[in-house]
Amino acid sequence: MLFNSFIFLPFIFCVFAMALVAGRRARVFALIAFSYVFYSIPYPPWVILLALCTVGDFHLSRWIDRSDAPGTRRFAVVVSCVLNLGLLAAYKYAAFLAISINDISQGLGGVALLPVYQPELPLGISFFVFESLSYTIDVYRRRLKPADSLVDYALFICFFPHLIAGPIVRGRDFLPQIKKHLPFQRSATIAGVELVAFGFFKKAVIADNLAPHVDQAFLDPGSLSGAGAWIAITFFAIQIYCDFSGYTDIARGIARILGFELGRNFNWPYLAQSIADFWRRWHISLSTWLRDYLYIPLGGNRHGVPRMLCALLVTWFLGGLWHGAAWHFALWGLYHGLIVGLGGLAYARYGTRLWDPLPSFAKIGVTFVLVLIGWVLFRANSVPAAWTFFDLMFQPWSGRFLPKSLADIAPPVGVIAMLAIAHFLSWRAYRGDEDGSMLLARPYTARAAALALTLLAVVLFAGKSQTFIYFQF
Amino acid sequence: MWAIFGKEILVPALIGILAIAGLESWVRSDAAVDYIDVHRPGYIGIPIRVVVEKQLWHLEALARTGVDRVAIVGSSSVVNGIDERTLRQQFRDLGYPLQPQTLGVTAFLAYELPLLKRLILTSRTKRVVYLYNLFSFADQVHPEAVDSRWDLPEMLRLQPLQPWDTAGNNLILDRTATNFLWLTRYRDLLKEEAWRALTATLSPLDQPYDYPPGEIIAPSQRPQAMEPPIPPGTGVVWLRKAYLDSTGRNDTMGYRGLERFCALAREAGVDFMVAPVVEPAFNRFSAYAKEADRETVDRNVKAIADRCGATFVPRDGFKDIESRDMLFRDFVHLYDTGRDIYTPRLGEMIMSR
Repeated sequence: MLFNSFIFLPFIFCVFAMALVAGRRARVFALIAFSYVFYSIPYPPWVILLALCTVGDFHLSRWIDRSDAPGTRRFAVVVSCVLNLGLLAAYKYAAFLAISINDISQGLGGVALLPVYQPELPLGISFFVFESLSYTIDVYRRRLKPADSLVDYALFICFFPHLIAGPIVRGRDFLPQIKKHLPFQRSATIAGVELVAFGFFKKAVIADNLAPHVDQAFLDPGSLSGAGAWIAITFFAIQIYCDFSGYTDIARGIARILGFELGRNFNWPYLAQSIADFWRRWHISLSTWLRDYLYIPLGGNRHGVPRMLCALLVTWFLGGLWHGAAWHFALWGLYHGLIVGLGGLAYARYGTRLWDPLPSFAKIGVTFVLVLIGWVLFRANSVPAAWTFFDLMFQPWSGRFLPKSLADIAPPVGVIAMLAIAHFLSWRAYRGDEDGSMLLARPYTARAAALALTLLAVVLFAGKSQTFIYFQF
Repeated sequence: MWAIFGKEILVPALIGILAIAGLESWVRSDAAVDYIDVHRPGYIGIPIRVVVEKQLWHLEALARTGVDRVAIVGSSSVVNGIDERTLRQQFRDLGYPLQPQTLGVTAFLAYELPLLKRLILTSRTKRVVYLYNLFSFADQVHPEAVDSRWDLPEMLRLQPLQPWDTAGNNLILDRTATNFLWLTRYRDLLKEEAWRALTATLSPLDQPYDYPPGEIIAPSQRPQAMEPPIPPGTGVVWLRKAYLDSTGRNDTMGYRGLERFCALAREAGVDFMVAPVVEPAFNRFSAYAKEADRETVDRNVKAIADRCGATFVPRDGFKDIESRDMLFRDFVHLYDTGRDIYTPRLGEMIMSR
């Protein structure tokens, strides 16, 4: 079910009504039931996967916790990894692997070696598999006591606000909240409603209105000038931020109203002053997951520079593939891994002398341009398509770089400037804390007016409804 | 909990809903409908969604005119192929009692006839002439038009909910919002008009056609030999594919929609006439329309018309127009010289039956 679908309105109304009347334990059961309904809307049989993942990891983690024999514990955690990653591999990567092997074989003059089976990707599988996996690993590492009951664990995995597109929640953050959650607390409700309203605004008014322009640009890059390509990729940068952070805001807002706190996922990423800083601000729940469960186990920065670079590149390569089973996503991951690695090397060699003396706006500008270049790899449908786009962007001497008339680019540049100003003003209003609340300290009339106006703006100015971009992952 | 829920969620939501209701009633007022209709944008350089909505808005405006009318319904061939003023003059000169109104909308498909019954079968509609083309009877919902050209009960009659197709059912419910709220039904048009008003570029529509009269036609638009396939992603491919996917069938959503509309017209006491719109003979070479089987489509339509008591007019009377390449600007639309010839002929056809 989409947050921006018509059916979500009666759904959330029922959820809130239930939360108002039910006691704590009944509420937990009801939230699980509602979450399964939420997940079943696109394709009901997918709930079997969710249930399988939940029951399997719940019992495996208890087994791990009960056992003192290292071999048994290791065996159980391996089974959990195989179960979770096996699901992900079967649904997301099997076809990609088969196609890649066949391509190589055919490229060498042979025949296709493997049959290609391409099932539809269950919604949110990359998110709930990572959540479940981190839970069993944390129990294995004795950093987390397993959940007391299957019911609590089921709610942790299936809680509908984070189920389909995150944030990726950790058991140690969520499970303790179940016993003490209280819906409709004053400050949490005000901040939650604010998150929901502004999240819808970002998604429906900004992202969905930019989406057709971005789609058209990538469908037919031949019609673009070089400047047009830069504008299109800037539009995409704004679109994906508003789409994904908008979704996260709605998810966190609803959870907060219901008495749960989900980890923050964004912290003004386009104001980052380096790529490493960008990844401390963008999709925080994924980057910290990759750090804790991949980069550090691979050695992190504890075994010298070559090992660190290898760990970085493997982490980012897999992080890229997490976003989609395609080479352009893998390249996007490697691109970011490479820049982070080179940044680390430069820091080791020159310390802060090279980068820090630059003024903040220059660091923000350079970082943003590097992020834009990465977005081309992310958004293009294939590596050759990305190259076509790069050709346009990086040949300022070509006759095609400048548009035929400045009037052609004035409106989109105006839109970008307007959104940049709005972004800066909201950064000021939130005092740089994307997690904070702007309305909490305002009088009631101002709050009510702001929310009513946002609702009106969403109805009036929404673009054509689009699926949330991160649903595909 | 109840107090906080009421104060922080319900009250702001109700204020927002009241503001939406106020704006909605203003947008639906006669003054606003007329003003926006007169100042609706043209076609060239306008996003297709705005085009679809402005055409439907024009239908809303026409439905409010207090004249007994003959409504000529169809796709962009009707928008561009009929000169309403010439037809009105012709009717007046010959004492025909009804006023002609062209209700053409881009990419109109036959299943949409019942979905637009509110706008076509008004109390002042005495006759409906539906001019179909080869691609009118697809078995699919057009992706660019559905949000605005929608009527839930009629759609469910054409395509009932499937118990296990939750995604499809969800989509149908989503589109239903546009049934109630013009602010969403005509959102793209209203945004365009607001933008034009803000930038002082709002002006009355200078001519009702998609293409400006007097345009020079590229000879390449008239293929003389079989063309290569149309590249994927081109807009017209959807229509062609939708047609080919259902070719040979006489039970598609399009045919069911035609039959349903015919019954609705009969119930309303409205005379219903169906005829093929003129299409250039060179179409048989075009990548767009090659392999399209005119005879089968005509036969299916005639069978439905005979069953439900509508008048079917065969294409024989317009063969001479179809064979004159120079009257067409492309493989679908008449050039203005073609419109000048086709309009009075259509008028004669309407008046003679």
